[in-house]
Amino acid sequence: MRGVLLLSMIAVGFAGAVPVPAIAQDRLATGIGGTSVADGASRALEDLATGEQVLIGPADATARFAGRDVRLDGALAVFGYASDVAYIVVLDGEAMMGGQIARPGRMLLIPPFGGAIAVERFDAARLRDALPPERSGPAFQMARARLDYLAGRQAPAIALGRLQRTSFNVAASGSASQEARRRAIVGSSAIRAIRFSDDNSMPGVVRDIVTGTATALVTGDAERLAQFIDPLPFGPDGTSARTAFAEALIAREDWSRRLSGAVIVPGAGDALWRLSGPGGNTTFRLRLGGEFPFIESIDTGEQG
Amino acid sequence: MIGISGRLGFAASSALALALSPVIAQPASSNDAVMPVVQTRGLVLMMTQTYDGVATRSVSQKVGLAQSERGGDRWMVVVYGEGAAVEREGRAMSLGRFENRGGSELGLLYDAGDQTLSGDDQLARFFNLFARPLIDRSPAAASARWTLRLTPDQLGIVGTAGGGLGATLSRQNVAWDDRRLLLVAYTVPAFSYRTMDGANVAHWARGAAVTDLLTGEVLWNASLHRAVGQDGGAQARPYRYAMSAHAFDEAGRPKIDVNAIDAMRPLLEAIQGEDARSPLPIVARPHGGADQAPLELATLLDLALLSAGLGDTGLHAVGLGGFLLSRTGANQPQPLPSTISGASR
Repeated sequence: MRGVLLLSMIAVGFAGAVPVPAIAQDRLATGIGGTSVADGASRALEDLATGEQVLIGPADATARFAGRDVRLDGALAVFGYASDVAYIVVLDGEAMMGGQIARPGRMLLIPPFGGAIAVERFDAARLRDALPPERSGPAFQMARARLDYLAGRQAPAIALGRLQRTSFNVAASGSASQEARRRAIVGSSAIRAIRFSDDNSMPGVVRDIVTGTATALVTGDAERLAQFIDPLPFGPDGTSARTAFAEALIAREDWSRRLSGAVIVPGAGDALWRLSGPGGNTTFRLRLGGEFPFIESIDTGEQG
Repeated sequence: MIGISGRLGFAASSALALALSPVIAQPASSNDAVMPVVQTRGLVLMMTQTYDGVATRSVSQKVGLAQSERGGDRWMVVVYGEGAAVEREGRAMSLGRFENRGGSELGLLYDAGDQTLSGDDQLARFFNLFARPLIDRSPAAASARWTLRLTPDQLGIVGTAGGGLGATLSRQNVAWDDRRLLLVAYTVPAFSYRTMDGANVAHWARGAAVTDLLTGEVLWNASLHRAVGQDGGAQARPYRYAMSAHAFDEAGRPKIDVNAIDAMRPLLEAIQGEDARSPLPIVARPHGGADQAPLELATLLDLALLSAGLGDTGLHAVGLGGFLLSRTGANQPQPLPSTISGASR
């Protein structure tokens, strides 16, 4: 193992992708600079918020990212989550995940819910230009050198028309404002953990949602509960209103008493699930058909 | 209601007559004559759009307002004019014009000495009991920014529980076309409460008004309220309440162009921009079942916060708020008689 050098890099990318994407930055991620141990890298990947990115490497290690194992072989790579996809941009070495290998100049695109991993080229020059100029540590120096090299290799192909720059941005597919809204809905920590979890079957996903919702109710965690509440009625500016709504929902009932000792009983189809226990029945109705099965209602009556 | 139109020296025998009346106040005695009298009169186009998860109701109505101020005391008459209403529910749409043939609907008197409002009972009670304490808690400075913390029951909403809110208000002088104006704005971050019907509601809002610095005449006013209510295991119901008021001169032109005031741009975007107009999901449920409490609270919140922002010069805004209050619930103008049903092919 050559050791892991971890430096903070980009947060909120706006350029990008197929066949020659790049990643730009809006602000710096903070608090993770200077770490040079493997567990620090793992922690950084776990704590990585949607929209932020970290530069890791060069590393020979197996890490956990986006709910899957990734094997790094001398890899210097940028890791990030967008609302649509997780990605590993390889500047040097190799990154292997799910039978796919990304070598320098390519990146792994990891869709949620166990979707097939894709390998695509990225725009090295745009990524180089997007690196924060004030970062001058060894990893960034290495990254710039590698991106200079890769950009030089891509330049003739671009000039000859074999590669073409696109406006698609892996870090923000669509407009920046749309990406910001989607992040607030499907990029929050609890939702992202389920979207990129091991169990990708619909019953498994829904069970995780119901369990996560019940846990948030019992622990009184309004921020976490709000993430599970259907965002549709709240509209584009309703993020904080979902939290206020969750607070009211928590205050409405002694959820610890109601849900203590309850067991999950799947209902008809995936949309209706019930927690049955000494405290009574609680029915969770989910809205299916959207990009995530959010909780539509919680009924403390006996029906369902 | 206390009619004071006779005291002001004119009879509003037809709707909006006061808007055309050349004189609206006369000194009552020789002592009164030494005090300057400030008079304003004019037309305001009031527009409201409400949505309760099923039906969208849009109402526009002309309102005539006359105000006379002397030594801090203020008199006001509000006359309701003609208007139009449109209601959409599913594929059906009802629309129609309506006229108001009555006299002056709202008469108000603000006594600067004891700082109380009299006239329309409902409005005076609300102002004296609920809005007045908010005014007292507000800074007197011409330019200020402050936070008011209150609960729905402090607005006289019976049956609501929980849900304290912290409204941020601001007041500043602005200029338009060499005219000195006062801009009052407020933001109500999301807060929650429970209605009498037992529904949990999350509610948030933005609002602003531009008034004449001297007379307090409302030249422009708008607000946007959003709410989501849910009763037990039922589907969550989205609500929207949007209102705007535009003052017109005798030639029918808007008295000010708020788009030309720099400080207005972020407010206009927040209140009337793209997000504010984005469509909300439809909850399939009979209209009669919709709890109207969030829409009624919206009207009261606007009135209370605007009163707090404008202080003692805000009678004009109170008059408009009183008009909106009188148009809530069962008193809404009904769109008659035209009905268009969107029959599917």
